[in-house]
Amino acid sequence: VTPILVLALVCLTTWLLRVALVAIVPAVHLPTRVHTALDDVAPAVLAALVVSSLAHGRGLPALEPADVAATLIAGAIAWRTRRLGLTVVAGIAAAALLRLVL
Amino acid sequence: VEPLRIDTSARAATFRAPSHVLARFDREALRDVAPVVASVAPFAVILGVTIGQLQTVPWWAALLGAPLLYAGSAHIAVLTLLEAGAGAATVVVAAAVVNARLAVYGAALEPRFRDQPGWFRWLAPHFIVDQTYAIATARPELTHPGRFRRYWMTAGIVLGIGWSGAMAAAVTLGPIVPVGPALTFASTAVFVGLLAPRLHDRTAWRPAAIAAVVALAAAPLPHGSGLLVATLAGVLPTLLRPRSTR
Repeated sequence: VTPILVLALVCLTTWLLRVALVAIVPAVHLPTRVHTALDDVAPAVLAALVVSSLAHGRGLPALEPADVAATLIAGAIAWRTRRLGLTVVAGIAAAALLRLVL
Repeated sequence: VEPLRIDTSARAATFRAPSHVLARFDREALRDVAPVVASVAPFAVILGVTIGQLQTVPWWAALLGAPLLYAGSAHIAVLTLLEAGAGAATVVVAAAVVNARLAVYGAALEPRFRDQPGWFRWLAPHFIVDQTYAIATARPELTHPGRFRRYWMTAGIVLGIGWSGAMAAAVTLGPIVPVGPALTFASTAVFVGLLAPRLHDRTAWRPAAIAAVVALAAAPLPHGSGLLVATLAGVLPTLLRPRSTR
């Protein structure tokens, strides 16, 4: 029963985090400088997600040259086309090919 | 949207109900969320295979986490910790650290939730996760409350069904499921695909660059807390010295 209770607590905590600044204390009541900084959250967290997905929890030594190159190719495609589906398909294809070469 | 055609044949009557249900879904949300579903599927499969091998957590409870927790990185962190015999407090705190960024996404999305009915403001934030946050903020034109509600519910429900379905399939099929090595790149490709178009806005460069460098240095921190540290570092300069031109 205990692991199930812990899982339920985790779900509850996560839901509280999600509604915290939406329904409990709406973000509109936050200071203006916090509001401006919120614009930076998306690029910051996405860049961090890209890097941490490449670093496999180990940092610089874990970076695979093929995956880094595929990331740059995918980035260029996304920059030019702004199409997520195309970027994902082309990125996976590039990673698969580059892993054979690099 | 197709014009309404009056067709009294039995065949048309049969197909009216499902097309009505489909009409309630938001087309733009479907278009945005489809590549996201495809990209998270490999991760769902990995989680599903893991769930099939758990000793301490019943598989059905772990699988319920797909729709009820709705956060992959916290899900796998929690299951790993429980399996390793970690205490309840440790597990709950670790999940809170991994999911702290969801509160920040909530703050950024709050204007869209402001003029909404109570059920939506309290329940719909459940669908806040990296990908839904990213696709919704990439559509600033969704200012009408009803329009945003439809978009958000469509994206959240479709992603939830795809995510839970892929995980359930992997639990059932177990290790037979082939996880192609190139598919591990799918999540990276999604995050790049969501990030790069935002860099046309020059103010996005600084937070992205700082967060990327810090994320690399902080990668070995436990339970994905490096992600939180990197995000905070990226946002900090603007927090300390707000831009005047906004």
